[in-house]
Amino acid sequence: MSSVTIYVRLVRLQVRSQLQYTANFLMSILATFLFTSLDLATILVIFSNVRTLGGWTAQQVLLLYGAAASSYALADMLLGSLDRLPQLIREGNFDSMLFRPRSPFFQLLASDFMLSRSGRLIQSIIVVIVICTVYIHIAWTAGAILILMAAVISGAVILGSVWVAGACISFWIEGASEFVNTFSSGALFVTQYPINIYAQWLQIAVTFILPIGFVIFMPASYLLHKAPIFDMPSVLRLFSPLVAILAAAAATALWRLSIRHYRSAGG
Amino acid sequence: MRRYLELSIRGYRRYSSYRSAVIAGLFTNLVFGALRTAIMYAVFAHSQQVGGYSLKQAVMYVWLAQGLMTIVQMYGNPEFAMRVRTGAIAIELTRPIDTQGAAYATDLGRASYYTIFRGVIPVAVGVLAFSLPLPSTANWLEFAVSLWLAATVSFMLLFAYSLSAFWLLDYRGVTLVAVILMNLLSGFVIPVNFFPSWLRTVAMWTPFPSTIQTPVNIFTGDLVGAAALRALAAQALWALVFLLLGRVLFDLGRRHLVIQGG
Repeated sequence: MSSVTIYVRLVRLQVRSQLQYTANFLMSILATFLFTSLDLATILVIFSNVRTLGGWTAQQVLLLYGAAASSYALADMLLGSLDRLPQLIREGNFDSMLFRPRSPFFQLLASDFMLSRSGRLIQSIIVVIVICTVYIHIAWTAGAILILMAAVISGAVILGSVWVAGACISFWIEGASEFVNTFSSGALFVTQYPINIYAQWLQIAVTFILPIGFVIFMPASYLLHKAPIFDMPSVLRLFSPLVAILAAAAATALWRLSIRHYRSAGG
Repeated sequence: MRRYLELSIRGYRRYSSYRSAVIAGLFTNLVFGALRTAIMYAVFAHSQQVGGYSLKQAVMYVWLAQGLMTIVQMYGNPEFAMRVRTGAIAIELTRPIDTQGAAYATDLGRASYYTIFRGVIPVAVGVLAFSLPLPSTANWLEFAVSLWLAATVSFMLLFAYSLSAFWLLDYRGVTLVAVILMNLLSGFVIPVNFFPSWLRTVAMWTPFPSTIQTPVNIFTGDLVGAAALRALAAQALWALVFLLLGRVLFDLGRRHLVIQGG
């Protein structure tokens, strides 16, 4: 059996066991849903004071928020287990994954799959749908819908690649997990607002170095006919899928390199 | 009194032994302080005043909130609820010291440690990086009292809702609701002054603004004189309400408690 087949089976097992405690499961979905809504509340409160933020209206920022949060939620559902890596390494439990003749990466991902993380996905998709259908005046042609969906999926891949790269740090430096968390939650925060409100150096960093600017912001600014940042060619903003592929390739290479470098903590 | 002081010192020492956690936490404070500052600059792009704040006051707000968040335990602390849940509370009950008082003394030690190492540094960075004005000397005393009361309100509140573990098998639901309400209504994610008036009224009738909004407003000089004293009185009142609620719940819980095993 391939790693992916085993991954699917392990995930199915986890989901089944989590569904045994129905009330608990529903509570955790609701909890994730509510906690995620704090970000939404923040944006709504901001727009009760101002009409535009960095030239974006409330509805436009909410589209950005909803789509970016969807990307984050997708990545979180698949890669959420990465958070456990530092602990697994510290306790020496990562070694047992290396012994088994299947990809340690997929074993890790399957180790802590939580269906309740879908609470975030449900919340953000609701925001996107409500905003797109009720408030935003974009001609929802097939092309526009395709761009948005490609953006959400590419966004998830880009964020996921950044997390994998972050998780790799724990193979090299012990106790770096907190820094890694800051990168993932910071990345979510950055992507929820128009990037042109940030300082120039940060705009450069999130466009060319850690390309989280391509998580929704670039394609969304194209769809909403905004002027491109750095005067880049307008259509370049639709290259999120290409950026995603490059990011994923870089993250894969880094992961392989880090695993090879890894020396067990224990005995 | 000596015993409580000793507990405070232990509380302080306990947190001071995790130095790398403090550095990582500070890093998080700085990153989010910088990002939230950028949002404030964008909010003030077209207006001089938002929610009664100037840009400098709003940026000061961001950095103070970063500094206060660990002092008032913005994301809760499962420690006491866990003690009830695991039955370790039985040992507390055998000790010849008031449980709530002992926990409060220990927590003040923790809060003092965080005030020095997680509070002062983010605020100093914000002040230096964005050349923010510091309050006049008169405000410092009021701010110090307000800070102590903020830590007290948040502890008394946390203690009271943690006691739900006496009755509920899973106390996490209550904790989570409390944490979400605290994040929003304390003014941590966005100042209460920015709220639409209905939400502001709702917030003002809850204890949450006493933990962030009040100390910040006193520091930034938004609350002075009689208004500042009224705000301090409100903080003290909330502290007292939850102190008493905590005592009543603890008494009820203690009678309800059955510890298994010998």
